Amino acid sequence: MADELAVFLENENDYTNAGGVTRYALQVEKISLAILKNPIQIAAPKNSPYLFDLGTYKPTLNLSGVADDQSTANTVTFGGNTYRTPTVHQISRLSTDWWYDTVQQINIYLREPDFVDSTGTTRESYFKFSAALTTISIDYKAGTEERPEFAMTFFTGRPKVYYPHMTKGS
Amino acid sequence: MKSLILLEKNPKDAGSLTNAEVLNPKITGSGTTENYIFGQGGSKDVQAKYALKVLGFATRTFRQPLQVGVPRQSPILFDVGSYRPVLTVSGVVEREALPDSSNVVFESNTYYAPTYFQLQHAVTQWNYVQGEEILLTHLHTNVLSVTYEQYNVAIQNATFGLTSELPKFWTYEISFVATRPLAKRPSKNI
Repeated sequence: MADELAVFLENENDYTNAGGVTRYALQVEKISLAILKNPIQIAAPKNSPYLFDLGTYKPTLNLSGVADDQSTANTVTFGGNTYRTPTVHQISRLSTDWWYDTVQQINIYLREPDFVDSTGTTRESYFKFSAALTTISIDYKAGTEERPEFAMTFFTGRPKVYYPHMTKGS
Repeated sequence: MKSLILLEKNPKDAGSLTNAEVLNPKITGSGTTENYIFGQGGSKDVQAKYALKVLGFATRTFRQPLQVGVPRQSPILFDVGSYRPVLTVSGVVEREALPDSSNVVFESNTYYAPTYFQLQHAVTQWNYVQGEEILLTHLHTNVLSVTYEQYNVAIQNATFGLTSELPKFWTYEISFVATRPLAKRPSKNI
């Protein structure tokens, strides 16, 4: 996993883990975030169209990468917590046994490069999305059976952002 | 691209900018109006005016004339003259902030290259309201005089991408529905 594409998946109350927290470090090669808005553009005869925008938006997050076919002991530390790289079995299980509700809160963390604040302190910069899973696919191909590819699609809310990078940020 | 795309939003009250309208929308002091951004500091002094790093810019205008088929005759055309412009801007946006000095001055206003955070914040928080229009300015490549088109736009959808091959930048593609543009000193062959 490239450090620059550190993506973490967390279930705060995993029913399949006796209500414990399950944390996975995904081995992601591509992130795609699509934000659909729904303005109305009303055409007017021989006039510039009218725009009507309620300001609604619907983010969808697509992640693709590779998974482990066999168990490993790989871990990644983020935010003081330990995340394990999931196997295909674990991804398969979460695809069926995780759902988003007020108890089983599912979070995705997109880590950005670290942020050095005005006091010189290095902070972890990241986006935290609440996410509901819509699709998971796992593809085995001849020759890479030990590292099958996966793709996940989530409907998400607007992310909470920790120590964001900004032009004129200080 | 040699030409340049600028994106900004008319503030509701230029003397009292909101979190949606500033370059640094973090929580400041006790006046917490933005619940989804955490971090210290923050300033509401500088209005968000963005100079986008653009690799592609496309305009499309959809018309809808009626073509009425007539048996054994040429069809009758009926065109009420309505049109719907759609703009698409694509390019890259920094993950980390550039130096503050890397800005563009246009018509006495300073435009900054946004970070990914700032651009995605604008995508979700800017919506088109009369009096608080979102303006997209397409500056042309002239050097002797500044020519540009300015569109009122509403953001229709946006796609951001990050790949392991290009880890320093997010790619983006934003589609806008637009009004008829105002043109300033347009280039014309006469």
